[in-house]
Amino acid sequence: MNNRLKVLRAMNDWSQAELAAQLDVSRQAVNAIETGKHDPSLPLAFRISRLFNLPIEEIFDDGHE
Amino acid sequence: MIVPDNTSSQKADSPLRFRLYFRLMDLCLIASVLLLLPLIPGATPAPGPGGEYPTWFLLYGNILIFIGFFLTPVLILARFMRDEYAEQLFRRTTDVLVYLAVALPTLLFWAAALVFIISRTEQAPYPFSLFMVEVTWWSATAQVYKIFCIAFVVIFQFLRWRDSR
Repeated sequence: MNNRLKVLRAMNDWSQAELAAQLDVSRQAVNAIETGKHDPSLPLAFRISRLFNLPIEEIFDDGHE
Repeated sequence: MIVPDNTSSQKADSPLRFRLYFRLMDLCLIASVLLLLPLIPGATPAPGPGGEYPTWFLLYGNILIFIGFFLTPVLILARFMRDEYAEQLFRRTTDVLVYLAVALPTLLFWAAALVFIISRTEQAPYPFSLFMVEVTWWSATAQVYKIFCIAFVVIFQFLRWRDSR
């Protein structure tokens, strides 16, 4: 699944570790989500959505129109 | 510009237990590799005339045993130390382990049989000669336990390394 997490993180000038701390996950988890190696669970996707004040579909793209 | 919802004070790093899990797994990988070294002939010091090993080697061995037989199982069981990505790695590791548990004994048997046929000797070369050693149930269980823990760590770290590329 594609996502804009890396872009959103860069816009806020956060490191992966800082974003991981905000989301209560490991830095490795943030890296795996950014590179598309791990699809976050629904609760984590909601936490990301709330953190950036954006709807989930504006952060994650499952390829369907 | 996206304005994040920073209602709580911003934390500088991810929770310690999650970071510790990956660091300890790194340590377990090093120990796992060192525990496999005795399979290479001459990689460990030979015992003295009375069968005793140097003190440093006993200390080194005890540290490896602690990591391999205590720390690794703790990390396998410590669900609270895994975030959802580590948990996903854990599940992928167990998937591979199931296949390995079925395939490895068969592969080892055929590899050993092939070595016996090719070498045409009573005694197959080390480490295949180990298959002919009679052991107690206790030492067999300990070996299986050790190999399971080593396999878990190696597969977990391999999947993690592949994800990071």
